[in-house]
Amino acid sequence: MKAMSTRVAHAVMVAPVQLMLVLVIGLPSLWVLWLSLHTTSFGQAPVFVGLANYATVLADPYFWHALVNTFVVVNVVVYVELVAALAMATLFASGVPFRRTMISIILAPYAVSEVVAVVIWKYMLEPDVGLISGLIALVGLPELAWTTDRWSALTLVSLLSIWLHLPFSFLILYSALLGVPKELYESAAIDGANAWHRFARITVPILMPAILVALMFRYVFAFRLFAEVWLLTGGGPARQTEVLATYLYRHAFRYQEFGVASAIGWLMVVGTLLISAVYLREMYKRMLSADA
Amino acid sequence: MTGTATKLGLMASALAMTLAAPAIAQDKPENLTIIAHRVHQTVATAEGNDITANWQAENGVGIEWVTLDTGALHERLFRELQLPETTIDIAFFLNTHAVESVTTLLEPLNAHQAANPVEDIEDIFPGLRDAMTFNDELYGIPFRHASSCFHYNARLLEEKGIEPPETMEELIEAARALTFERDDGTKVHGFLINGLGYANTVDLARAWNGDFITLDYEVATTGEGMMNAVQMLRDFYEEGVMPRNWAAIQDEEVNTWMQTGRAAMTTTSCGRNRIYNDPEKSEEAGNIKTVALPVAAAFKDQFDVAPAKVEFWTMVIPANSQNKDLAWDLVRTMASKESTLMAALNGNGPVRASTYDSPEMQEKLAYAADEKAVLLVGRVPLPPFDNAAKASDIFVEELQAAVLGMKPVADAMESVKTRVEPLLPQ
Repeated sequence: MKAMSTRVAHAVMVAPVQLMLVLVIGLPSLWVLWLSLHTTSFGQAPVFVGLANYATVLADPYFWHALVNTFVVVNVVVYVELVAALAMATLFASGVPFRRTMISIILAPYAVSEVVAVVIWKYMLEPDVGLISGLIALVGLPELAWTTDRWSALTLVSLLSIWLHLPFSFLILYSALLGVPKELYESAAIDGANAWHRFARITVPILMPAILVALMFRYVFAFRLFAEVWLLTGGGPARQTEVLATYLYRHAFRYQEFGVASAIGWLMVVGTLLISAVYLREMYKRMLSADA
Repeated sequence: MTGTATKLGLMASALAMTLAAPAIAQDKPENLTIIAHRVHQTVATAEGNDITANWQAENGVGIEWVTLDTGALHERLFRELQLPETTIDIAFFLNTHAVESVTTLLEPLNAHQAANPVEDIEDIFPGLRDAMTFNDELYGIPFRHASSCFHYNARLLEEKGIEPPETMEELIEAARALTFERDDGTKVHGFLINGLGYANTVDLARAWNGDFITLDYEVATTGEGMMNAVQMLRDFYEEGVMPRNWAAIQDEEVNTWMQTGRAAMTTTSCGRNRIYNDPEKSEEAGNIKTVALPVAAAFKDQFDVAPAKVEFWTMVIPANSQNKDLAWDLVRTMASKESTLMAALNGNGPVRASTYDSPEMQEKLAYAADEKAVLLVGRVPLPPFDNAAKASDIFVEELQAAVLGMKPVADAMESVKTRVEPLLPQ
């Protein structure tokens, strides 16, 4: 009886959050799903078209082009960022001078708005007068032709995204790393483990849940990559650097094709879910094995 | 008896007025809400020159301005127009959205104009009124235009011993001559336009009387005018007359290039002259001259100046607005001759021919006569139709491909024609 009333009390306490999730995420998602099965725009009554919007999107070569760009950028961003964050977290955990100041410097990009960051980077990489362009030329490296070449532009988009979001991954991994008992390293050292062994056999396995959380969140966020592309290249030149979020924006807010845009939105949700599912499954497996 | 009847009558009238008073008060809202771009509020309400001040005082009604960027403004407006009723009383509406399907959401204005007319409406440029007229019904009153002019840095031209170009051919030669490296190593580019839009390329095509899509919905990208314009941009890019990052340069950045003297010439809205010559914002203040875009030599006998693009904003009343008569009264006040002049002196592009003839206007704006010349021959960059945004995106995509050398110019313009034609109204 007591257990029952406890469960009810718990349910009542989490109910506001659940209700908020239903109102803020659940209902709008269902509304978008309904829209994706209709053709509609401003001043037009929705007309049911079944899966025609999905067929339109899947038959559009620009969608596939955007999907490839998104896939490449997301994977580069997520994994490079993860490796960099892990390296930095390990370095910081092992001790660096002026630790607090250094952490503040690392976190700084996270406080910069995406729009401001893009404008600053765009100016620094301006071919004629940009500071970074000048430095690249000074050391004799070839110019980063981000305004004319697809892969150069996507490289810059990736770098910008990594710079902006590295603090997020760093914070997750660094805080997890601080929780690793020092005794484990001491025991390993006594047993003759070198630095690499300690990192591979102790740090990484213990950090794995945090790594999975960081990976999953960054995949979801990176999949929605928008400002970096829209403000830097506008998806150009010649729509070469378009990603899924800019493709969706174009259909929703430039062409006002809400049915098609909703279908793109749902395809993105499904894509994100598929990616997340891999990591979620791995996390649950680890949680269950830990419980056992 | 008569006296008693009179007293009774007066009492009844007083009672009726007392009862009616709250209803009248309810008819007049505390505020009217206008959704607009920030620039509209600025030019309408500049300190000491507020065109709405008298109207507010006379009517005892305030004005609440909701200002948003162009895209966000229309997106919000269209959402409001879908509702059973809206709190928006007047909206500023860009010509590119003026398609027939939208008219069901807007208040028809012929009846208002007949009952309480806008002063000398014929004085408002007819092309602007026509664009908001569907099936002989007027749906918007023009308030502001943005016409394209040619801006050049007179200091740089003088430095290089070049006379201001009077034909398109002279402009091309001048752009090449004005591409050089300053003593400090910074490069000056002879010519620059926005690389992410279509409208300024249409301006250039108009120098040969070319077009993107004609007013009767023919795709004209393979015509001589547009081909010349795109080939000119391709040559400029290849020769370094335009910067290497042209395809990522937006309007605001063109302004910065002109203000810092890194670009010598451009074509964009005439009104930009103010920011190019603003001593607080520009290193080249006083050096940037603004004139009508020159026409190609072969078309000199047809046009004095290139029939460059004219875009404009109109004031519309939502069909689901709650204060239509009051909103109309404010619209006609803001569209009067006096208001048009006051707003023009605040920096607005005036929509009345008579405004350009006023001595105050001519004294304040050195380019007023040139702007009027453009208005007399200019036309919208695109006729309105439902797929206009899609068509313009296709054009920009193919334009960038042609200018950057990814495709031959002829192939790119042929591709625009093929892809855009199915999008046009049948």
